[in-house]
Amino acid sequence: MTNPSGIPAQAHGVIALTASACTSCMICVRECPAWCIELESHDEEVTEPGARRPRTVSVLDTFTIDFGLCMYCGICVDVCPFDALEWHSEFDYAAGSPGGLIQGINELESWQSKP
Amino acid sequence: MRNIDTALWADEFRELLARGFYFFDFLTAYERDSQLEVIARVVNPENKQSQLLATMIDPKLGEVTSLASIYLGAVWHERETAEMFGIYFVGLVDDRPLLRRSLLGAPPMLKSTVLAARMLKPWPGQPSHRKQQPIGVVEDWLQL
Repeated sequence: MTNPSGIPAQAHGVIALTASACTSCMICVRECPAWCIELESHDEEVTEPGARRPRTVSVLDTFTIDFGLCMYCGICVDVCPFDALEWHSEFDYAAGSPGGLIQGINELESWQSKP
Repeated sequence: MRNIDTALWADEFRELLARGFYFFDFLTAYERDSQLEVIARVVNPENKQSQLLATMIDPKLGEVTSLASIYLGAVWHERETAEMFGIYFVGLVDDRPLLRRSLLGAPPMLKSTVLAARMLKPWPGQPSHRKQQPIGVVEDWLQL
């Protein structure tokens, strides 16, 4: 499958995040050879109806990928057990200032909605 | 891949060139069990056959004969392999650094070499409740 510009949909253009699928397990952060992923999370207790005691879940606070360091190897996409990371073919996101390639949750999630 | 004795490395390529393998594809090095292996590939464009050759470098000598007098195209690859892995190519006249600014300091492609960036930046994957070693970093890695 290709997008309108003729680039395959799975091309290594940018990494898109589905924050709701992320469990903050840190596997992508630890496996990244370029050390370009950082995430912060905190634990919250969730009480489910009918459960005997509350369950502890990790809630994602921040998730950043520095595309200035990223070497587009795709290890993070491969190792994510919850498919929270995905390749997107968009490549046109050059930045004009230092640190401009550091993308947070909002930017990384925005790639999901792009054609 | 064929393993060649380091002493016969250049002779082997001289013979391959005579047999029509005149296209020099690439030369690089690989650190296998803390020993360096030099790998090179040549192609015979007429019958589209290729040969991939490797030789284990004696760690005490750290050198191998240059292929530059046989294949002119080997110069660029040998200059790069020399500065990245610290291998000395005997007979390579052009020893100017290719990608590094100078040849001072440890060769960056050796597994024992810790990059400055790895010392300056804390590992983002460090668990809060226990100490863990990042992947691909030597054991006595010093964090500044």
